[in-house]
Amino acid sequence: MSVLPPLEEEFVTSGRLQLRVQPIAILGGESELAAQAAECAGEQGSFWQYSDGLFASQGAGEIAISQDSLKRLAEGRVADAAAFASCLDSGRYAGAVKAATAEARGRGINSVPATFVNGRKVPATVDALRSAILEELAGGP
Amino acid sequence: MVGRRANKGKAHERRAGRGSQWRAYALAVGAAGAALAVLIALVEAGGDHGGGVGTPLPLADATADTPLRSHILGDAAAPVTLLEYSDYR
Repeated sequence: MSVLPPLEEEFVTSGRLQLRVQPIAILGGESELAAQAAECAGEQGSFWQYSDGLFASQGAGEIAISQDSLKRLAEGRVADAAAFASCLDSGRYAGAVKAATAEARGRGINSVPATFVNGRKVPATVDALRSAILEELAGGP
Repeated sequence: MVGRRANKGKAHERRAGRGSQWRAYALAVGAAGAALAVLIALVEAGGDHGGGVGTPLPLADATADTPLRSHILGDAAAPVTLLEYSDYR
């Protein structure tokens, strides 16, 4: 579950905040597949649409993660569903997802979402992040 | 005669040995060139860190076949950056 959407409207549209998301997979094989799918959507500039759809579908209990369900989710969210399917089938992001996950674990990240504001680790709650962002905007903690 | 023939044989072996050494040297040079080409390609692929939407993060891209991308939303000049590591399951 991402905590970013509430902050996006409040800070990003006014140019005060830049959001960066790094997909990792610490919850097993389905996580790895989902992270690869998000990357494949990103190839077509549809990372945000796809990841929002992925969270929403899982939250609503509409999707069990599999190659097929991830491909179905891409329909209407990416420009070229066939290219998305080819990307996912190729597994070309598998190594990168594993490496990113290993690196994140090396940084002590063992739960998600893990969030950093200007490099400072902040609890991944909307309130904590909002406070940290406002502190930074006011000149630092 | 026999001795000369034997010497010829040894000379042939030495030439053959030198040929093998040159082949090994050529293979080593070729392999080093290929490795350099791969390294250059990797550096170029990761050369736009910190730019706009979809630019790769430094993490992981040196060890992965296809680098991950840091997915960015918002103004690059924004005073605050929020990085989220997220699991999509």
